[in-house]
Amino acid sequence: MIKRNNKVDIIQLVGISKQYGGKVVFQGVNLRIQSGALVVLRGESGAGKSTLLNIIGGLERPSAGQIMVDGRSVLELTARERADFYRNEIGIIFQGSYLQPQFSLFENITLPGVFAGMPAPERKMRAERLAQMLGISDNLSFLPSQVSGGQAERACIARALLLSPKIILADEPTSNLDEANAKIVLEILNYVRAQMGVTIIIASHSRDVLQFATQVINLANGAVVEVQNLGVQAANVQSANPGVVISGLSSVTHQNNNIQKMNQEVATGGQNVALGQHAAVNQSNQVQNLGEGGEAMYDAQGNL
Amino acid sequence: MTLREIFRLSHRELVAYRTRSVATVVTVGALFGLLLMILFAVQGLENIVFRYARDATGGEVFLVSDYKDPDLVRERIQEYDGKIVIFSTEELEKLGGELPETTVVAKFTDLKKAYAYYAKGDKTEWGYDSEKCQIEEIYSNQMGVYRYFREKNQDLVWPVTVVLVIVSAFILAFTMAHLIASSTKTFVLYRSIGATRGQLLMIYFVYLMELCAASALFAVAVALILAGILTAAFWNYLSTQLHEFYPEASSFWPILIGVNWREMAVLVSMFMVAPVSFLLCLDQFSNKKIAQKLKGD
Repeated sequence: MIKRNNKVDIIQLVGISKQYGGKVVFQGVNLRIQSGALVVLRGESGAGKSTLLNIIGGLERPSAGQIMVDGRSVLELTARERADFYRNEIGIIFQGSYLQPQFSLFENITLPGVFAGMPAPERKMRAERLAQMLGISDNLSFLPSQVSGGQAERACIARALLLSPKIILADEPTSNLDEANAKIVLEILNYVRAQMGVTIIIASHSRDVLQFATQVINLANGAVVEVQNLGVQAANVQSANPGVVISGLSSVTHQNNNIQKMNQEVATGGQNVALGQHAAVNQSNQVQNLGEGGEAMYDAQGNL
Repeated sequence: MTLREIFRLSHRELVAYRTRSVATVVTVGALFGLLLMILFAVQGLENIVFRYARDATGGEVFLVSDYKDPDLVRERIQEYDGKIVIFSTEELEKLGGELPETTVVAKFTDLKKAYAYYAKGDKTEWGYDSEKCQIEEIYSNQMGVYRYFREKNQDLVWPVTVVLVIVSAFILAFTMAHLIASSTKTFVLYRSIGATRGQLLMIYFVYLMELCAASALFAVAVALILAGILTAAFWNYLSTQLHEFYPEASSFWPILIGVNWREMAVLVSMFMVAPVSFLLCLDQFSNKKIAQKLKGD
């Protein structure tokens, strides 16, 4: 059993231009993003990072150009296909941990399942497992205002992951976090990429995110000025290990208990989930020790 | 998506925009509350006057008809389930002497049938000259009260109802449009996690219905309170007046709160405001609009 097929262009942008009134945000952007990559969109404020992310996510229409996501033209989706697109293809993490303040973290995380018509027990199971993986199990009943920024951001990640999307778009996921929490969130995103084969695109001006990037795209003056293909480096190989990720979750002191409990659960359930191929390169080295953590929560397709 | 889940999400909007939602409920509720108070009070007054009027004759209506052809009058009376009354000399004396030969006295137990006979709406059917047929009520004035309140309802209450419904619909629609326009971020979030346009529409429609329901409850509460205050203010005056007018009647509490189908119709019309407001706000749900506002935010 393997994770999603990697090394395929999951996103293709062809001649994308965007204007607001007379103002050109970017012109003729061409990009190819491989499945399983962690792409960082960099640039000064106003360079169009968020806009490009919104365009990839179908939240904004480009003035010109074509966007193909997983072989489908985002601009030609019907209303029904668009809903399915958000349910199956893309998970979006908005800037500033946008959670519904009147709902508990659990309700926030399960919202995509509600719209997708997922049965309540399955929603609950998925949410609890994701919360366990992300170290917010004890906070599920809390309102967003009652948890820290880092925990809220993790809830956003869990929400984005609930329906097992192929791509996650994250707009400045660490902008409101302190250094420690920002690191944890980035490690989690990298972990998700490594374990589920999810393609992650992060719009950020933070330097911290670069250590996890497999590809860095620099935007400036309405154009892509540089594309750096970094591959997977030693640092993110290390942090793709859930033990390392979870050890960083300072606010969750009994995470190890959760992992043990999860392992017991998996063992007693007779599940034997094979380790997937790693996202980009060096698979055999990178997936060491994964049997001790959250990878057992995914099936052959990388689904929960 | 179950109805419970839709309600949960729509209720979130009400909580999220509590101040505006409450302001809408209070404004619309107060307007309709005033109207309902008038309806409650008018109906309550009708009820209490009727009660006195009916009690004066034990619930029966006595009508004296005078027409050149008494046989025709008798036939009419029977047709309306009335009974011919033959007065004794004593009773005639009480009424002030003898009745002319062309006069027929009838007793009705059914108020509506008595009124139908009294209103002489059957002149073509019966082929008599209704203008020349005189009908008067004796012992009480139930027909007069009945006619008075019917005319009052037609002349005053309905026009006011229509005006208030239109005004309230505009207020609600305006407020709804504003509320929905403020929810762009929520729209974007919901769409981005897989909500269909239909699901969004459903959530906000239920939200509008919830506001209407809250407005209706508030309106009823306002109407009851105001009608209660009105009752307290006019209690003594009404009791005295009614006792003077119907000395034979028992004593009843003059409560100015009465229920009728018009009040129900007004409450239902409040719920009709929701679809109208919703239609006015439909454009807010388009992808284009959401994308524009996303950038605006």
